[in-house]
Amino acid sequence: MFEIVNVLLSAFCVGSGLLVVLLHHPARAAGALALCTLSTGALLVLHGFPSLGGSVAFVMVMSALFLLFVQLTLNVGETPDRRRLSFRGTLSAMSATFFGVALVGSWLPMLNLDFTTSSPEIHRQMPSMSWQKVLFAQFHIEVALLGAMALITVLVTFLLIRRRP
Amino acid sequence: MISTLIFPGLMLLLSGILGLLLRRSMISVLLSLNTAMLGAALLLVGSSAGGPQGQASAFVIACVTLLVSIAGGAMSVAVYRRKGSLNIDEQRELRG
Repeated sequence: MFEIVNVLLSAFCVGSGLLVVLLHHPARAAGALALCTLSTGALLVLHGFPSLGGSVAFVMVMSALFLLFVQLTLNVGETPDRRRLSFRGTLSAMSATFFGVALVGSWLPMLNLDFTTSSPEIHRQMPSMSWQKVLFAQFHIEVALLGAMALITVLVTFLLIRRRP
Repeated sequence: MISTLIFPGLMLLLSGILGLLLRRSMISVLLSLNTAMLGAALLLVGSSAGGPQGQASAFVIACVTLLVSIAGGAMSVAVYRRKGSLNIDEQRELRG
């Protein structure tokens, strides 16, 4: 039963993720992303991470719905022009480099550098801690940065979408 | 059991990167970036064998994705009001 549900959820997750790329209208793509996020959350719940699955699904669905809201506000479709590659080439090269370095760094033990600031004592306790405790024990700098980024994002958003007279 | 998370994560990551390559609308690019980040979160949980570090990283990634979407969406609104288009190929003012 677990295997069947796992395969179905994985297929639905990958299929809706491909639909995000294949659908030309951004509003439909945002809907596909919301479905993909929900199925990913369900997949995580199925694998025994109920709180993480719920949190990730909630946060990412909020993200997809925000983009859907922006799309519905602007009401434009996919642009038909296919001439240039510079901007998206740069962006995709940056993304590929980032994810490639992350993957290689996590899979090769010799490159697995520890940039975290937690003490060895916390590292020893880590396998028995919940992910919420690890989040605040090891990733405290990231959590602080996230708070700062949230404040900056709210400020930038307010400045950007403020309607000028 | 956990390794079954790696395949959908990898597929989502690849499809997100494919969307970054193929799409031109700024909102579609943001949606593809969201897909790639979702795949990266799944990969982190899967490759850490369900350990708490991977789960915490996945949660951080989800939060960062939300913030990127908010900032990018606001930027899209501002660009559309100014240029009347969301085609990223037409945004060339910062090109050296």
